[in-house]
Formats: sequence, C-alpha cells, structure tokens
Amino acid sequence: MKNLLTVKNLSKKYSNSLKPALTKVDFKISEGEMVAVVGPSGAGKSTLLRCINRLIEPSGGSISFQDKNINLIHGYELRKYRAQIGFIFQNYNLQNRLSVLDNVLTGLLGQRSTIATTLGLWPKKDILMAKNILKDLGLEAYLYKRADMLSGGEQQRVSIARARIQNPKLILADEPVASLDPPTAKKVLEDLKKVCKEDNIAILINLHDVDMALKYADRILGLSSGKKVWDEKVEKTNKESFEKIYLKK
Amino acid sequence: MKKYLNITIFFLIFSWALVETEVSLARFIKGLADIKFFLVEMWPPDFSEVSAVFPDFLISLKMAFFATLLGSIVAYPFAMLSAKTITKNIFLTTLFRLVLNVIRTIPDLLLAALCVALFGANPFAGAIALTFFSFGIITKLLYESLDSINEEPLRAISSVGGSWMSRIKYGASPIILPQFLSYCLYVFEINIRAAAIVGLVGAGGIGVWFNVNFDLGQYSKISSLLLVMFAIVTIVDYLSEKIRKKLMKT
Repeated sequence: MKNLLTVKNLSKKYSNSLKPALTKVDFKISEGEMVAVVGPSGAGKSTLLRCINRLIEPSGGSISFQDKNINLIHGYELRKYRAQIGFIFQNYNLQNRLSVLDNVLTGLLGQRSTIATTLGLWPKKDILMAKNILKDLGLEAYLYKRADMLSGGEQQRVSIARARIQNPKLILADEPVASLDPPTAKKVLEDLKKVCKEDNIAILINLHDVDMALKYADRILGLSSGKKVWDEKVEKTNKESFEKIYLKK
Repeated sequence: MKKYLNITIFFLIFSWALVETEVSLARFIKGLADIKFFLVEMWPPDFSEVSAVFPDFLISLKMAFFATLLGSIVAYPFAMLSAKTITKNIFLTTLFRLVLNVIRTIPDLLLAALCVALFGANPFAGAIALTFFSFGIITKLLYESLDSINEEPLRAISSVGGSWMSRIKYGASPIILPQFLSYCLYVFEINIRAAAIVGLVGAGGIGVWFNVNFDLGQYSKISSLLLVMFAIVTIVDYLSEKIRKKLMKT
C-alpha cells in the first residue's frame, strides 16, 4: 500500500494551557488503511486530527500529504489540500436549516466555483452524485428534509455522505460515534469501514471505545497526555497495550 | 468590599451626571404644570387636515421601508466583514468596526440636516439619512450576534476547503438569517417614528406637518396627526411582532 500521510514530531501547545496538547507525535498512514486513535479524554486525539486538517495550527513538527509538506501552505493551496480530506465531527456539524441534499453538496465547496456555489448553482452531476451516495447509505427518503429533523445516527451518516462526496484520499473522523447508541454506532462504523475498503480511502478515526477500535480498525495508535505510547497492528495489540495508556499514572 | 466600591463609584457618576445636566425637581414640576395648557389646546383632535396630509404619512412609511431595505442590504456584508467568527483577519475586522463607529457617532438629526443640505429639503434626503441610521444599527446587532454563534458548523465548511464566501452562504447565513430579518423588522419599526422626526429638519414626510402645525400653534391638528401615527405604528408593531416570532421559531 502506498504511503499517504506522514506525521513527524507533531507538537501543539495552546496559549492558554501549561501542558502541551501534543508532544512529538509521529506515524504514517497508507492508502485504504483504517487507523484508530485511542486514549483517555484529554489525550490530544481531537487536536491531532484538527492539526492534520490545519483547523488548528501545529506548534512544531511536520505533516506531509502525498509527499508534500503542508505546514506552510496558505489560502487557495490550503483550501485545495482540505478539499482532499473529509472531516467527520463528533457533533456532526451539519447546517441544521439546510436540506440533507444541500448538506451533502457542501462537501464539494472546496472543489467548485465559489461564485456558482454561492448562487446555489450546483452542476447536475453533483446533485446526482449526492443522491446516489445518500441512496447507498439508505438515506434517500430524507433528501429534502431539513438536517435537524433527522436522528443523531442519521445526521452522522449524512456527514459521512458529505465526506464521501469529496472523493477524499483521507477521512478524519473525530469521535464519530460518541453521541450515538450502540446499534447506531455499529451502523456508522460499518458505513465507514465500507467507504474505506470499497473506495480505498484512508481513515484516521478517534475512538473512545477500545472494542470498537479492535473490531473495525487495521491499526491502532495509543495516545496518552499528548504523546504516542504505541502504534500497533490490531492483531498485535493486547491488554497490556491498553493498560499503558488508560492506567498510566 | 469590591461590591461597596462599585456602588460608591456608580453613585458618584450618577451625582456628577445630575449636576452636569442641571437636573432640578422644581423645574420639572413647573414644566409638568404647563402640560395642562398643551392638553387643553390639543383636545379635541382636529381631523380636518388628515386626509390632505395622508400622502405624507405614506411618504414617511415609504422612506422607512426604503431606508430599512437599503440599509440592511449594505449592512449584511459589512457585518460579515466585522464579525470575528467569519473574518479571521483582525486588521480587517478592526477597520470595519472603526468605520461603523464613525457612522454611528453622527447624531440622527445632524445626519438628516446634513442630507437636507446636500440633497435639498425632500423625502430623498430623509431616506438617505435613515439609510445610514438603519445600516449602523443592523450592522452592529448582526455582527454581535455573529460573534456569539456556534463556530463548529463554520469549521465544517472550512474543513472541506470552503472559501470565505462559502462560510457565509453555507455556514453563517442559515444560522443567522432569522435573526437578521428580525433585526430588519425591528429597525423598520424604529424608522417609522424616525421618519417623522427627520421631517422636522425639512427632510420630507409627515414630520414637516408636525413642524408647520407646531409653529402655527395648531395643537389640535398635531393631536390628530399623533393619533393617526399611533394607529400606523401599532399596526406595524403588531404585524412585525407576529412575523418576528414566526421567524425565530424556524
């Protein structure tokens, strides 16, 4: 598998905090690989994902995407980089007053003309693509419903559709199932796994639930107090691996 | 201790304001006594001129509508440029807020008198003065609302590579639009009253008739105009309250 993302010595310190949120974290992700990041609350999982997308500016280290350093890119170049990366948020972050279809189309905002999309002019092929993705996820009945009329699980699946329409090389999912009940969480993770394997999209997913990480991920990254404690294939992880991050004093 | 200090400072400022504004209870009571004169003169209202001046009532309404519409259209992008949640460039937001403060510093009546000097004594001058006034209020209310919105849906737009315009169209606008329309209606209500006031300095509309009748001492005609004005304002207030409540629910 071809390498997609390389993170080297990534550090982040917030100005209002004494402790760094991330300290010299490094790892690689290959195309079509599903990597789970596990660790207790405050381990730096969300910061890690937001730094990769540059929603948060790293304090140090480097991030290379397809062998290109993205630390110093700005403006149009940064927008083009972000357009290749889907982001799934814990609280879905849909536009509540827009329809499900419009929400999915927003995934293409970085790839289409700003003037056309501001005027609400979407190419027919985009609309068709959005409909097909929603159909594939079993959400075709909600096309024109307002996003806030859907249940939490349905909203999260809409956000998966929004990421999928980007035709991304990588999806960053920040605790996507933390607010969902177990059956819905299972459905969302199955959808993500399907996207990963069928479309060869790499996924870096933050998970609180170790069992879920073991079941769905190919590899697991253990994070504690902003530091990478271990990075192992699922088959190689054991009880001790998790004790290292959850029982660390 | 800090609480008592704050109360003391408050009373010191209050007392200072009382002295500086020459507040006098005796003068207030004397003024109240004169109100009897006006009430007697105003009663009964003389409606003989109302039908003749009704077109000027409509002109005031049209002035208020034009000013609210134009002011709000200009206010929308201005508020986006002034809101820190939308425009991440601190230099730009500070600059636009400064420009806005300058506009809001000019008193309404001075603005109306200035417009009369520039464009002549006609409703256009009043409408332009009210447009600046509407623009100032709506921009301020809107950017303050934008500064307190949940930024996460905006981050979702940024995360897919959305531009500044995309953040406005697909991030901020769906959230803020009901509030924006509510502010427009509120300012329209204010503008109806303000349209009568700017007429006092010759900027057209019904205010001109208030001025003329006041100068001629025809207080019974003023009371009839006030009653018609009251009816118009009440109807507009009622309708706009209904619309605003509906908007806030969506």
